[in-house]
Amino acid sequence: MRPKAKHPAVKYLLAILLATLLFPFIGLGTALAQSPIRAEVDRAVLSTDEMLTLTVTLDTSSILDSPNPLLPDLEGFQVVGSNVSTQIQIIGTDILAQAVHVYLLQPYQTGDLTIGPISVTLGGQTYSTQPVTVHVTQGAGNAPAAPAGQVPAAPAAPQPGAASQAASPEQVASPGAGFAGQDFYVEAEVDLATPYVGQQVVHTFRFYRAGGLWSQPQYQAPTFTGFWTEGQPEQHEYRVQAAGRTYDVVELRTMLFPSVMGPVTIDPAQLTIPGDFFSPDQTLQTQPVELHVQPLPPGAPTGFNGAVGRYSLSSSLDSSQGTVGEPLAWHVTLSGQGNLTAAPDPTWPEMPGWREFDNQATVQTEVRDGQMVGSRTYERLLVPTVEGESAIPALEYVYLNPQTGQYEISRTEPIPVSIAPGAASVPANPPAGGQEEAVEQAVSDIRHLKQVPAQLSMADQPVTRSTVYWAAWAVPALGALGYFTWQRRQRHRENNANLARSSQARKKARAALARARREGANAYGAAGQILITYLSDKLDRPLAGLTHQALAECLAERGVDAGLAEQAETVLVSSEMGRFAPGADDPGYAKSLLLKVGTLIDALEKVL
Amino acid sequence: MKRIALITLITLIMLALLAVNGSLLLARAATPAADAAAGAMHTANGLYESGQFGQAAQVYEQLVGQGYVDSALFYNLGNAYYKQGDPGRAIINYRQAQQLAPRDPDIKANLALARAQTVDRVEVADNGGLLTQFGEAMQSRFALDELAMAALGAWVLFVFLLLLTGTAKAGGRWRKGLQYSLVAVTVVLVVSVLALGSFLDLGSGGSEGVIVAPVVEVTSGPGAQYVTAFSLHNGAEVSLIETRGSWVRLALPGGELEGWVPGSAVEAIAGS
Repeated sequence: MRPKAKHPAVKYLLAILLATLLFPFIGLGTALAQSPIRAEVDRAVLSTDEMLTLTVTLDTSSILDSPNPLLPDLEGFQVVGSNVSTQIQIIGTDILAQAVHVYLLQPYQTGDLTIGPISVTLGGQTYSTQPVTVHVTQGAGNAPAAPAGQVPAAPAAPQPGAASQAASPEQVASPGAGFAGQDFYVEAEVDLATPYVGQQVVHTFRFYRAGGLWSQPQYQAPTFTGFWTEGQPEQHEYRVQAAGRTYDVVELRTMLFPSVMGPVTIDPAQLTIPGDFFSPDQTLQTQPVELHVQPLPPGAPTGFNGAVGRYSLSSSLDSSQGTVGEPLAWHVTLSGQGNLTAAPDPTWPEMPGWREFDNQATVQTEVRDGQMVGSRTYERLLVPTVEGESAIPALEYVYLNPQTGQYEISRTEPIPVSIAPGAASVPANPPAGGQEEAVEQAVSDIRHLKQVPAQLSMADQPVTRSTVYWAAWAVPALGALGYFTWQRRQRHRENNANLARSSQARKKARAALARARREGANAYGAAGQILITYLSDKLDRPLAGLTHQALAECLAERGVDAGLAEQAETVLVSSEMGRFAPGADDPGYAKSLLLKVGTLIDALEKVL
Repeated sequence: MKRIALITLITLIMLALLAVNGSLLLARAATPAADAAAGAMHTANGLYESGQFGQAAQVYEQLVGQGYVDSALFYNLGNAYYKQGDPGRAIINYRQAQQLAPRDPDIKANLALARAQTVDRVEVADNGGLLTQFGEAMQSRFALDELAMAALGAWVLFVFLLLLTGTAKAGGRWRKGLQYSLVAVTVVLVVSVLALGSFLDLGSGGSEGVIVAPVVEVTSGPGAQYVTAFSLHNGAEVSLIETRGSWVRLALPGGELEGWVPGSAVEAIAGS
């Protein structure tokens, strides 16, 4: 017998079911195989004028020994900067660490450039990223920069109308191409058409005047978008001969520092000359000034932070001798030519054995011979923590000299300093020649970490902010107060027996009534006895002398209503009759008599 | 017989409330997530041991941010800041550790060393009143909860002995012994209540803080446009008086010098 063939639809259904069941495991496998290192770039297409940001993210559970990723040969790129940041997260019992390495790449070739796999070794296993390809186009500026080691292209020739060097105050300018002997003429130019990013550019505005002015003209400067402007414009006035006329020239020089790369246009400057009775206001406008800002040349040495100019670094200490725990002032001065206000700080060295405190840097700048010069002075307070001979480390300041197009380094010398022990410290060297040597601490350091406690407690308010705590204070006080009140009452009762007898009369009577009802025998006698005993206690009269007549008088004295007194006498008479009269022993009436006694006692209790 | 029953009842209620307060304190130690936090603290200790003080501080800070309070945690965090050259934040954490474990010699030693690294030295002419000095002496030896429970315990014992003395026969040996005990407990009660009162009084006078900026100019008003009265450096311990916007008014110990600093330049000591 042939086995029954499965229907095709059943096969499909089984396949779908199997795929559905396996799908989560496929996803899990993919997740498990996910590389802990990822690389991404901020753009896929860029020009040689732009920078590419390469971000390498490294996930690791062990942050104690997070390795650095291994970069491949970055052909076509120059690494101009890098940065590392780490993030640590505690989620439940897991500690997740992430190291983010950011590289700033400057392309110097065009076409499709590929960044090869970036690898890292974690736990003995090597992980790699996928290659990343970006397309680099020719920028609008110079030819792509050469790799490190080659001399960068020289700045292009100044554009027509722009001077290649700044004019000195004594040097006078001639009017430009648009000049035709007018009464008023304005022009603008820059001293450098192709500066580097951060290099000083002088924008010069000139106003030529051959005619008279009724009032002061109004100058409207360009916005200088794409530039860092420093200080107020510098003004010069001189006289020139042009087109057979004598002109008074007012010149305004503004110091600019380009902050963007590529072609940049400086807007026209405007000058409004107020009119007179016969002519309207006249507005003069310069031509826009075009520049092309070059990227910094490649091959920047380590420690370069973007400083452009010509700088010199100096370092001095206020004393060559110090004491442990007492601060010394370290003055570091960066001086020279460039944008000192925005110049990056020097890279401060590690200084073991010292505590460092930064102070605000002071900047002084001036324009000298058309150049921004000045100094930036840092005062750092250094507190020695270790005695002995020490030295303030040498400093380096790396900058690009725009005149030569080369990176240069200004260095300071180490400063030797002798540190004496402080008041709190002990001598490092034991006294020589002694037979006994005391064990002394050479260097003071903090005591080491504490072990992790068995359990960490959560934040809570102090116990003094708990209501229960203050309730615990109140309860003993209230308890003691209650106890002493009770004790005083007891003593009072003991000292005043009559009062005690009176106050206990009802209680005793009710107990006796309950007993009489329970026992049932001699109810008549019990009813009378209970009532007369109650009245004896209450009225503080001896039982023996409490006749019917005496009772009536006492009740009347105490202001008891005559009806109640009559009821009391009736109960007493009924009780005696029940006890002594033959045939009057009716159990039902006796019980009702007991009830009547209880009611009567309650009524008497209210008035006695 | 009734007396004994009444005294027993009152004593039992007092002991029950004392036990409730004690259990409130002990309950802090047992929290469900404490094991995970202990694991994180192990990691932070490992980072510290390997010289990664910044990352160690980051993990300790996360634990503190999650609400964990432990003298060892604050102590280790203080160490991590000290090793980074930040005596200000080290002092803050050592002082928080000291509030929880005031007799710990390690905390005391490291706090003294961190204070020695600070630049500013403040001369205090007036050490405050007798009660203030007494409170400060107590603060350096006992935690607030310790003093609170000691005072409550002395109070319960005092009331118990008072009740017992009232019931003892006049002239009897028991009564005499109880009276001597009552005098001794009264002395303990007075001292502990005074200590607790001075502790709470010191705590009610505003919080304390430490300068965490490398250096900050203290101005005469809440803004940079005011006159700079003096400068303070990292680690200077101050009293925080009030906050207006992003500016904090502070005073130096002794209260003679005071002024305003940006809020980012100073951090308060929690629980101070």
